[in-house]
Amino acid sequence: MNYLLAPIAALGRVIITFITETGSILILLFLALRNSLRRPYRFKLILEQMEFIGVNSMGIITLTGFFTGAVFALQTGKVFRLFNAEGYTGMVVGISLVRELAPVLTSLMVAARAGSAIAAKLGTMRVTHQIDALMVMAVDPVNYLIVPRFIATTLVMPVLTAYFDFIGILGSYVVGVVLLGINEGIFVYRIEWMVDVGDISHGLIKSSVFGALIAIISCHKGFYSGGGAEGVGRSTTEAVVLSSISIFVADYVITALVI
Amino acid sequence: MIDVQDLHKSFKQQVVLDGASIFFAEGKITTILGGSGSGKSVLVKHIIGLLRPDSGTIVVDGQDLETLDDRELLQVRKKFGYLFQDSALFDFMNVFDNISFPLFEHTRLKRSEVQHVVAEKLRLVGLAGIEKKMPSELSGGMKKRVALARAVALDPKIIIYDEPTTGLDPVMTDTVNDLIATTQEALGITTIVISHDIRSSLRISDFLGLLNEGKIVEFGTPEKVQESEHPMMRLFLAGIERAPVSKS
Repeated sequence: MNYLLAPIAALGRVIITFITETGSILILLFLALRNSLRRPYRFKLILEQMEFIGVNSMGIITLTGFFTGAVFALQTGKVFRLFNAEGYTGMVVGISLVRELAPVLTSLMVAARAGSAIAAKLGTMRVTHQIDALMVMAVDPVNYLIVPRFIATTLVMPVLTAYFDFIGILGSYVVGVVLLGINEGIFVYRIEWMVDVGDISHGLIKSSVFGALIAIISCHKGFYSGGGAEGVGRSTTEAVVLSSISIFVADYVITALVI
Repeated sequence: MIDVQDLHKSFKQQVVLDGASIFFAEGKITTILGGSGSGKSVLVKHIIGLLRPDSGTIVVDGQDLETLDDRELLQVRKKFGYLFQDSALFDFMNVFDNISFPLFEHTRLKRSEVQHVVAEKLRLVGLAGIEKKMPSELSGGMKKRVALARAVALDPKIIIYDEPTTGLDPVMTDTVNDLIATTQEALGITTIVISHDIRSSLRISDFLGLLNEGKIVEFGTPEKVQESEHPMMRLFLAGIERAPVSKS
């Protein structure tokens, strides 16, 4: 009988864990939003986090953006050439980048680089009682640790995405115009013709939502970490995995709502 | 100063505090003795408002903690300094930033005034001039002393030492004990020490309380508790800390 019930019990445990975890993340999100409006406002910490999450991610975003645009232009340019339609390469790359690729890939890069660092730092602070030290010094740890990271990530993501857009299109230009020999005027004109402000803002707004998701999930995983070094390692991995999954789910939901 | 009455606290099925009552007199050193896992830290976390009791009352400086909301509890916590067992210094800040942290958070002192206070607190713990060092560059005993300087930065009314001598060699143990006594004398603050180090506790305390099975089973001056017939206190006094296998 037990072996019949075991899968049901396991399923039940998964569902309970999912609901508990989601509830816990939403409570932390509520606390972060409430504390964002409360004094003290920590502008210096927000700027420091913007530097860490934004400025220090520029290198990896440059590489990812350039090669994404380049390889996408290479693939589409070769196929379009079969139909004598290579002039449309820039247009396809441009629209795909600004609406989907840039926000999603930028978010995945930030989740991997900054999300993991956030979870590891807060997790280490938790297991070494530094978060307890904040509390006994009458400093709200949500206000001090989570709000600056939440605001910074949400604000820098659109900037990084816009930068990814630019670098990605630059990469596609290099491959399309320089390597494949597509007419420069047609390449640029088609992008201008196809990609409008609505497309760009769609991508930027999405990236801001992804930033908020990365921040709150990574902060949650670190903040409630436990179990010493192993626990911090687990939290860091879970932060990246859960952030990445939530980016894809949120991308589908937002796109489905807008289209 | 701090009056704890009939405190009960359970985590799921595990009863940790089962009617603990204790009084901490103003300006005195009171040590809570107890074996590992006896609930000493849980008791202290209630006193500082980090945990809410299932039942019972805690009155700090005339304020019943149960009647306070989270923001009011933050104000109560400003009366406390807390020295963690593992020091809990912020590892991403240097010594100056660690000690000045509560000053910048809770006072409007100018930077020059803060520098003066930090230097004074470092002198108090015998570590003048190490403001620029990072915690990773300090030994265990130095970290503890910097953590003490941070704990007293705001001139708290009450200071709590969580296992201050655990893991220290005998020389450093005596140094930390002297530091607790001299800090109390210099600042006249109410001092709570959590410990299972009977030798140190007898040396520095004005009062001792023994926490066993969720209750304070012995309380009094060092002279009085040394005459206690309670089996756990006898074990402590014999220098043998041995958790009972079962309640019986």
